[in-house]
Amino acid sequence: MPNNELFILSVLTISILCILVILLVYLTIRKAIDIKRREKIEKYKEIYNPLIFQLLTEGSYSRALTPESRLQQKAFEELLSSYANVLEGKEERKRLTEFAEIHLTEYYRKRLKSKKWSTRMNTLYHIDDFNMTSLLDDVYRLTKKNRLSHEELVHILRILALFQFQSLFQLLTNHYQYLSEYDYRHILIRLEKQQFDQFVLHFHKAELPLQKAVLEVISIKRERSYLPFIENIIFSYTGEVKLRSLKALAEIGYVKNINPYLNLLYSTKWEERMIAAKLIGSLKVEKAMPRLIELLHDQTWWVRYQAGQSICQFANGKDILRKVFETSKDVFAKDMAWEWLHKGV
Amino acid sequence: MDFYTPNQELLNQKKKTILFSIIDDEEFIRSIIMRTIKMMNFDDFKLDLKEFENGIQFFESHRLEESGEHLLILDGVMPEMDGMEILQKVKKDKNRRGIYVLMLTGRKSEPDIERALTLGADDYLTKPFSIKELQARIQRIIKRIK
Repeated sequence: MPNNELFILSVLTISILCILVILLVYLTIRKAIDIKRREKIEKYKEIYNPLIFQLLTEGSYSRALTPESRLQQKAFEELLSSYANVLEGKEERKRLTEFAEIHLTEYYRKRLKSKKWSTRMNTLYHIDDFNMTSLLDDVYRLTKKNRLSHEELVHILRILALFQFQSLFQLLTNHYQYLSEYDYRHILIRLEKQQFDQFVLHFHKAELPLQKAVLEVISIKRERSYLPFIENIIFSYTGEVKLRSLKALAEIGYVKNINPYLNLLYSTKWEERMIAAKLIGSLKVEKAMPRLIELLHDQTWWVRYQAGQSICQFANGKDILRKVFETSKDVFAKDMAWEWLHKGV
Repeated sequence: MDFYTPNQELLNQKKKTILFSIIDDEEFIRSIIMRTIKMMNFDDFKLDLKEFENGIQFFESHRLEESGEHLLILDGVMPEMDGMEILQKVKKDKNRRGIYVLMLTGRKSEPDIERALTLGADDYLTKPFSIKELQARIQRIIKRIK
């Protein structure tokens, strides 16, 4: 009986050893193939790089720039991707897109249909980088897929926004109402004014995340033409939306009449006092300076911080902060004045 | 066909030398800058072009001891001695003339730009950049050298 057990154990050990050896051989071969593949791609890149550089900078197209194999396509893709990250000249970007559309459209069309999530995602990133509008329909078709990850969907919508896709407004307001503010913002930031205006007009009917995203985008773009819209929102909404629109106003840095906003410096909500202080700083409203100095003594750190920053934005701001630092009896106000005096702003 | 005459040789000898040093840790960027400069026309100058992976390699090469006008194209962020450190070191010697610095960096913040210009950078360009703009800025510095 023990002999039998020993035999089984030996067979088992040998089997496991065999499996491990096979696995090792398989991995070694795969690694060797990968190394060879990489070497070939690098070699192609060395050959194509000067030609692609010439194409992008001078527009001179070489016949040698025609990929005949997958590896050559991969080399093209890697080179174009590197150039897309570094170059931003209009002409260069236009030539890069044209070149990618000629040589990579079919390749990417196939890859978008891949069952592998990573392949589809990588392809989406490249389509985005190379601004390949020739694949607009293919990208849009992906939205109709049943199994679509959230990351994939957001990326698709971002690409559609980059391409100024006409039906994006319908898509976002009818089909994808559950996205976060973050997602919406990253989509809307890519829209040109005409497309973005649809979302501004739709504002009152939109869900809170979309509303916040619209205001955030206006804030980032500092688009002055939305001033009447922003002012209207400030006085018709409360809470987060009101705060966001105040922030947008501060970013734009212009109002026709400051008086309605001065009251906000006395608001019972610290968030409103803070944003109002930001607004006063960006508009440099001299008559509000005494109140800003008072806010430097506010009980909330954020308000004191913003008041300090706003005072700093005035031409005589540092002198005022110095005076507060020297004369104030409030330790917190003194601290904040000192902080802004030494920030190197 | 261009014929090379002794007169031309004499003219070439009289030409000022510009020593371009490209210091960037990314090989791809270095290759773009090198190609961009090679595309440009420097009729009035002799060109000497070299690339370095970082500041340490640059200083160890004693490049600045070579005679001629120096134009350094510096990356801002590098693992070993970044662009600002190189700039500071290069511009430290107030009596030293003929060293021009163009910062080509991903650092886009106002304080970074301000600091570089205060330290003595002659121009500042952020990545990503346009080849035409880079060429125009190099040309502007070259005009100053003239």
